[in-house]
Amino acid sequence: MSTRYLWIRDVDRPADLLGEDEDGRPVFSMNFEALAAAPADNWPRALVKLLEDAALATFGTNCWIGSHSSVPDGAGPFITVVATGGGPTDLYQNGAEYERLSAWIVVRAATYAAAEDRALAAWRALKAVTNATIAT
Amino acid sequence: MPSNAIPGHGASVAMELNPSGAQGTFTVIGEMQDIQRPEMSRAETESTTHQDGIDYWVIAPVIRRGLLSGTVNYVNGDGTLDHLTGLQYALLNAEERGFQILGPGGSAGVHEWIGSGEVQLFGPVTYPVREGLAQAPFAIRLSGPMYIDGVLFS
Repeated sequence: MSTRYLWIRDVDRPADLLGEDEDGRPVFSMNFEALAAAPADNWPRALVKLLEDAALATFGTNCWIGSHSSVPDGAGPFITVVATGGGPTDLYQNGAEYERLSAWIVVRAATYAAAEDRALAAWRALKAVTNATIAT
Repeated sequence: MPSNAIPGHGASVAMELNPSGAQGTFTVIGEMQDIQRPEMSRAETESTTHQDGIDYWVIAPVIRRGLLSGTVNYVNGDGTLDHLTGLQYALLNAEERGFQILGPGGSAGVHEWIGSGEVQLFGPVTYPVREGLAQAPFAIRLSGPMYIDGVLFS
C-alpha cells in the first residue's frame, strides 16, 4: 500500500537504555511520531522502508517489526521497530482524516560504538521526513 | 436536563465554481477546520431622553450579517481554492458566487444557508516550520437575499 506521510519527526535522540539485552549487547532506543493521510496501515513498515532505502536495515535479516519479534544471536546491528499508540485522529469537516502515529525503535549491536553509530544513522534518516508518499 | 446538543463536526461550505453555469451546482470547499456561519444582527440606536427613567432603543429594520469565515488546509492547485476556479479566483476577479453552508447532517432545505457573496479575504497562507500544516483563513461577505432552510429572506 501507499500512504502519504505529511511528516515524520523524532521525539527524542537515541538514548542508551542503561543496560544490555539478554545477549549482553548494548541497546539504544528512540521514538518517532508522524502525521499521515488515512489510512496509514503501513506504519511501521514505512519506517523500515526508509531504513532500507538508507541502506541501514534489511527487513527480516537485521530488522524486525513488533515487540514479539525475536532478535537472533550475533553482532548485529539489529533494529526492532515497534508501533506505539500515537494520538487521536485529526478530522476535517469534509471527511478528510489524518492519523497521528508513533513508533519506538530499538537498536542493539555487539559493541556500544556499533549500536550508537547505527542508532544515530537511523535517527538521522528518519527524523526529518516531510510530505513523503511511502509505498510498502 | 439538556439532551439535544449536536456535535459541530460534519459541516461544509460549498461554492458555485462557475457562476455563469447552472445555478445550484455547489462544490464543497477543501479540507476545513472550524467554520463560522455569519452572525446576524440589527443596528441599534439609543433613543433614551432626559425624561426617561429607563433606556429606550430603536432597532433598525435591516438585517446585517457578519462574515462567513473559516480555515482550510491550503492545497496548491485545489480547484476549490486556487486562482483558476477557486476562492482565490473569486477574490482576484471580484466575482460574486453562490455559497451553500450546511450544518452537520444538513441537506437541501435542512440546516442550510444559501446566499450570494464575494470572497473578502483569503490568507495569509501559513507554512509552519516542523510539524504544522499549510493553512489559510478565508472570509466571505454574503450580500443580498438568502435562504435559510429554504425560506427566503431579503
